[in-house]
Amino acid sequence: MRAFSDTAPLLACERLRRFFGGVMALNDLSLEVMRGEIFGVVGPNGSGKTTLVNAITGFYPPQQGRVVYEGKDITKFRPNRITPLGIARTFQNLALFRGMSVLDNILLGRHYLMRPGVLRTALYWWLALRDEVVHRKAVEEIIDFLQLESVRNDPVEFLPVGLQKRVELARALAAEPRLLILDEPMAGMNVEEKEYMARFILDIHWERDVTVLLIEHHLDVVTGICDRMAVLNYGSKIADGPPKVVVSDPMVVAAYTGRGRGHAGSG
Amino acid sequence: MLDQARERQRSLADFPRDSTILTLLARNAEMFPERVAMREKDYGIWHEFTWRDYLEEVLAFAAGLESIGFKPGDAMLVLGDNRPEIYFGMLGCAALRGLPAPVFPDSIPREILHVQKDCFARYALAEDQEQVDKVLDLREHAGGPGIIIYKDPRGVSTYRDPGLIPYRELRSNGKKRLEGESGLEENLVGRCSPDDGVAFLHSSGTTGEPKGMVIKHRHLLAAVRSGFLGGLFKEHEVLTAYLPVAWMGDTAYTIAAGIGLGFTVNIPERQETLLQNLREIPPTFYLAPPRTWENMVTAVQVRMAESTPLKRRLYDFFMRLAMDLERGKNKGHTPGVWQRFLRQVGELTVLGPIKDHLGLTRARQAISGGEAIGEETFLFFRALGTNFKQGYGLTETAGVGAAMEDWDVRLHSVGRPLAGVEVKIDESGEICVRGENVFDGYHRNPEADQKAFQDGWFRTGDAGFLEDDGRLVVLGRAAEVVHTAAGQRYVPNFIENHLKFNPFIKDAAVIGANRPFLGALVCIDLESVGHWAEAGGITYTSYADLSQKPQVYELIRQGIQRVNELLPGGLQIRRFVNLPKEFDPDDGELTRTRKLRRQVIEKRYIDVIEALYEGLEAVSIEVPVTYESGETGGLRRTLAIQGVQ
Repeated sequence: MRAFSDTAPLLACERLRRFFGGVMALNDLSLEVMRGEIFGVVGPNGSGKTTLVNAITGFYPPQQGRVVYEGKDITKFRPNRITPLGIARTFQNLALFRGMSVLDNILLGRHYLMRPGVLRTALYWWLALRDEVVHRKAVEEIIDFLQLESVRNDPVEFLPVGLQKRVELARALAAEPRLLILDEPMAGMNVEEKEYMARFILDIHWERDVTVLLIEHHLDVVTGICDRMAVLNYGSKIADGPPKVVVSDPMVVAAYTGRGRGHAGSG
Repeated sequence: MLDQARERQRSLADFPRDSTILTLLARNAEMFPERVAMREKDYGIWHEFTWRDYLEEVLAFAAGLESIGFKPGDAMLVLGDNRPEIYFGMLGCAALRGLPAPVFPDSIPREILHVQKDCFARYALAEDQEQVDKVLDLREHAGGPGIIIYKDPRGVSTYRDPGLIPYRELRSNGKKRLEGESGLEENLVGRCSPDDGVAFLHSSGTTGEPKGMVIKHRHLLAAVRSGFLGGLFKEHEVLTAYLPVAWMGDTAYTIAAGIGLGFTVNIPERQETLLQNLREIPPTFYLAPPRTWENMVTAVQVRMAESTPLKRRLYDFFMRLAMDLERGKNKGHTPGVWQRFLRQVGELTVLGPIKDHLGLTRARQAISGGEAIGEETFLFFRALGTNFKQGYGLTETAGVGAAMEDWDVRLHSVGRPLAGVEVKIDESGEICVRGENVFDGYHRNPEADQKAFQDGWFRTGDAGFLEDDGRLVVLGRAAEVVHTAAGQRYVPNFIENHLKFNPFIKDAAVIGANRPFLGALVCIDLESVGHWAEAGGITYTSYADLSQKPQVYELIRQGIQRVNELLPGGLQIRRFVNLPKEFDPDDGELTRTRKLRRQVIEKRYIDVIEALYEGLEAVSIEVPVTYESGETGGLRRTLAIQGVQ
């Protein structure tokens, strides 16, 4: 089914456009994420970063342009069809299930991998138990990986934000993605928590063989851990390439020091 | 038949004199092969090792280690938290007549180098990447160890450094050898003698560098026998292994007593999950140094302070009642019927649940050892209704010495010497110990030996006295019993323990030798003071910032004033300063077992101490900081100095 070579990009966005009313949130945006890399997308507030994630994952499909994943056009796929393809994401503003434990939240990430049914559940000991053990084991490995043992059974809403973000990451990992999209995983964190998170992202990439699309507000984080990056401003890409090259681009400098183009816009 | 019955009646502690820990391990594997010897929580599940597994794992490690060239007398550094593999490795190494040298897992490079210089280990057993990195770093400075066996492959499997061997590989090679060579098992079990070492340990080093010593099978087994006869522990106790492997307590209790008396040892998932894991399987024997008990008290106090007014009131009422009863009992009073009834109500509503939270519901013995514990902390745990006691033992005496008996628990004493341990006080008031559990001497350190031994007695360096009915009272390190300028004798540790019962005070160093009055250097407790500050709307940025807030000074001043009311005249703390950082073993201010290193502290903070006695209101200091990596930095701070009534 996969007529797809290693040299082709894992994910390609081709001339994406997305309006919200009169506001152009994504303007002819194209970018390619290669298999096995950590690709960073940065930009000031309202530059269209989150819209890009939503366009890829089907939350707000683009009105024009194409999203191609592993050689397959997935434009306008609904989110529930995106996950089984091996794409998982986290949310900028946290979207955990309050009132549920850390463990249950992470287990939910495996939702699409589970095959519940009336008969199977009724004959739990014979049919469903083995499945449940498999899923629990997968989740426990992630808990171990992200060092969440001490909060395993705590309700998520009582955890500090830094830990909640880690639980989100765990839930995304539980879906066993090949492409992991992280939407500002370090927002609202202190320096120490940021370093932890950066370490985890590198470990995930390295040990679980996951391609990472990292959306971030802070330049320093992205330049520190990404192989390549793109910079957005007002819904358009103003630069891309290796971090070293990109950060010295005059347009990037201008966007970040506030001397960008003169018109107003928001994402 | 009769023989068998007799066999069953004999206690596990009646082992033959030529036993080693290995032969006893083999005995357990034969006597009760299916009994659980060890549990480890991993991936959220308690995994069990039976005694047969335990023996197999130890021998597999030994066989594997031997096939990569390990020779008798070789040393092996051991770095990591308590893990079954760490214990299997240590015993496997000992089976080959080698010397496992455990290092505190949080040690900084300088400390590991100190151990390595002592034992010249060619091998190391490391738990994970963090510890492997330390050994690789050590290699650059010390040229060894050449072979590093690592347990957790995460991150390490990509390393290109030579001599890295996964634990799993070593073990499976050993297992193959065991299957292939008949008689190897018996051979490995019987190879070491009671006169061989089990662990290369270090004294805690409150005064000067830690001194290395070899603790042998016969020392440890004598200690186990003494502890058993003295009622310290029974057969088949359940204990939780979480204290550092490099601490004598772990070798003596988890390994030696654990195997000698067939304990079940539970190993928590991580240090952070300890409290949950203790609740899941509460130990019957709970040994910890005062620091751990103090932290528990603080945790309870902080939780109660955050609780609802009703709960707080209930807690205050019943805790005070129970502590008063306990204080009365200590003076020989018997509580009345009404008081006993109230205590029972307290048990159901407050004290029982707290015990459950702390994992103390099953503890037949809760023992504090390693250092003197504060009176209030002691009373707190007695008041909870646990059989809380103090014990006395040193690394040099294989972790045992004296312990309180169940029927004679007194606050001021550590109890009577255990069977097989002789204690005397020499002319200078120093405690001396003699017995089979006492070590043979420091490692290549004749100078220290000369000081430590006198006519076959080991001089502990602790000051104390024996009461008429045989109870031992320990005053503190002999070097720490000091006098003020007015000639009043005091033990700083004693006063510090009073201070530390205050949840807001994490640590304190009391100064006053040859001074007109006592002063204190205080380290606030970041967690509890932080909570208190948040509740009071006080904003702060860091530990240093919080410590210098006038409101925090007032809080600490009140605490010291309360302690002053308990102290005899002339021994009140008159001035104090809040330090901008906690005492830290990385800075050498504490030992790895978290005891104060007074000389270091008094030298480092000399400017502060001088300012304290000159009557200044503030002092500016540069505080050097050593980071975990071994790098050093500095903090410049102006500290306020305050007086107390």
